[in-house]
Amino acid sequence: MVRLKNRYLLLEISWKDGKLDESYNDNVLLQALRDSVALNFGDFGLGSNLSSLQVKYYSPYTDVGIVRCATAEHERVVAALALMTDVRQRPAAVRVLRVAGTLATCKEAAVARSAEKLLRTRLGRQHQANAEQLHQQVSALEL
Amino acid sequence: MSERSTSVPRQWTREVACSDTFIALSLSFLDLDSEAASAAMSEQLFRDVLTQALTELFGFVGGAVVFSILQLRDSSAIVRVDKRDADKIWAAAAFATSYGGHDIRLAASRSSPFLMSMAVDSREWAATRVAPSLG
Repeated sequence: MVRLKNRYLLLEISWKDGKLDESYNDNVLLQALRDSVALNFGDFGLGSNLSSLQVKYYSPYTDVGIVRCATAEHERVVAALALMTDVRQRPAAVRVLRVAGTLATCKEAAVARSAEKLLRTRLGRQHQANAEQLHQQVSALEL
Repeated sequence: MSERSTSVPRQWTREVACSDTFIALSLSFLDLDSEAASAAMSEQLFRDVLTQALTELFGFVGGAVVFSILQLRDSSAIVRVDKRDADKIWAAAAFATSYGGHDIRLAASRSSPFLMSMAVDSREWAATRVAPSLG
């Protein structure tokens, strides 16, 4: 039985305008990532990643996200993330902070990074409540 | 006089045998007659068709394959490419179906690490020399 192995990428998005937009969720990030893979690696690259590529978590308040991809494709996905210059016409830069083999390891790093960003970010009361709720969801992530 | 032993400096060399592969490609326009197709055929057109095919299938990064067109005769060309990228060229040629609004067929017929083998076609030789004697 061949085991399907995945890689979990912890990433952080730096928005050029520095603003908060709650409409940018994990679906938007996934679509932008697929478009980048299709542009840079063509139909072949997109088809290879179609089944395994998934955004497990993304918070627009901390700009921290977790992306899952197949082990054989993780170099292409990292390259596609590095070559992304915008997400839905909003200029941004994506940094990959960690590449992990298990979701548990990536979750630990995501919780630490997210907590650090929540301390430094000043949000309104409603935004703070939503941000902390999303932060709690990181620990509850499952495969 | 003291004899100093001369030693050859240690060298790191890597020899790659047959680093390039030669692929015979033929380009045909399915919706044009032979005269129009031959008038339009050029080395630049061949290069553009192959580059577009590579970019469509493998994207900007994946399709940045370096290749050289050694000879273009009628609608067939011999393309030289690094042997690690030969599969990409062949796959891109197989997936190319249109260019500039025209239906095309870009077929790879032969591939060899030796350019000399592109000069002759053993099947054609057998058809002209061997087949008649076999009846």
